[in-house]
Amino acid sequence: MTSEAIQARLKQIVKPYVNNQENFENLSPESNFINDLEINSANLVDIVLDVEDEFDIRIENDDMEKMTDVETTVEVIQNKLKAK
Amino acid sequence: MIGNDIVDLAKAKEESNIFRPRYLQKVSSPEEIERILSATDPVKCFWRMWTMKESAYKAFQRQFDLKPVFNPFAFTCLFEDSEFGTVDFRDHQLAIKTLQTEDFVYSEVLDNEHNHNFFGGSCDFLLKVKNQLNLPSLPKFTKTELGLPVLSLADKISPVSKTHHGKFQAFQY
Repeated sequence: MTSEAIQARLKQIVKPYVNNQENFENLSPESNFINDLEINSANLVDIVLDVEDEFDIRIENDDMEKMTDVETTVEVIQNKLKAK
Repeated sequence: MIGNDIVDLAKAKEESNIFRPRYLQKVSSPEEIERILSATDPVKCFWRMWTMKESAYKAFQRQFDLKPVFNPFAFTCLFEDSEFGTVDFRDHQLAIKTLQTEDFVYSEVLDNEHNHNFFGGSCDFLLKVKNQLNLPSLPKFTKTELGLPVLSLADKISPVSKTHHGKFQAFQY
């Protein structure tokens, strides 16, 4: 799957947790979940779980700790999909 | 070292379901999960641990110039009583005090120097600091290179930890 396709699906996943709609509409690889999208840190756990369900993968803690922005999250997903 | 965190329990109830499958396993050790599930109020027990970990994380981030990461699993909580507890991270341990009410759970790292806290909005907080320290003008919020908040007073800067969730806001300084 291309990183663009993954990012498009990730965008749908993060949507319900976003508190800054303007930054969400202008979502880019650099968008940070907490600083830009103003997602509550407890909801980052939900995003990780939603990603696991959506892509049928399991994310370990070492990967989870990197998932604070769009670009690294897409990378983590892409690597997991390749390893499947 | 300073760091604080508040959770608005009504808002948390709308936003998060900690009983969602695999949720607790992502953020808590098996011992912590056992403690949560055997508590009289498991949800409140969870948020106590969560705010303890977040406060410790903020303090360590400031102390060690850590890049922002997200790994609550790396922090281990122990309760001493209903108010005091500790958080372990790598080889370090911090003592944390938690205040629990009907409406919110608030934790803060115990620090001899920065042992003040204020509950309320930014403007009221800045006014309180001005009066407390007899400053000629209102202090200002600025940020360190890492983006951590500090207070610019007349002739010096002083660390401040801010937390905001739902209708509650608190400052440690």
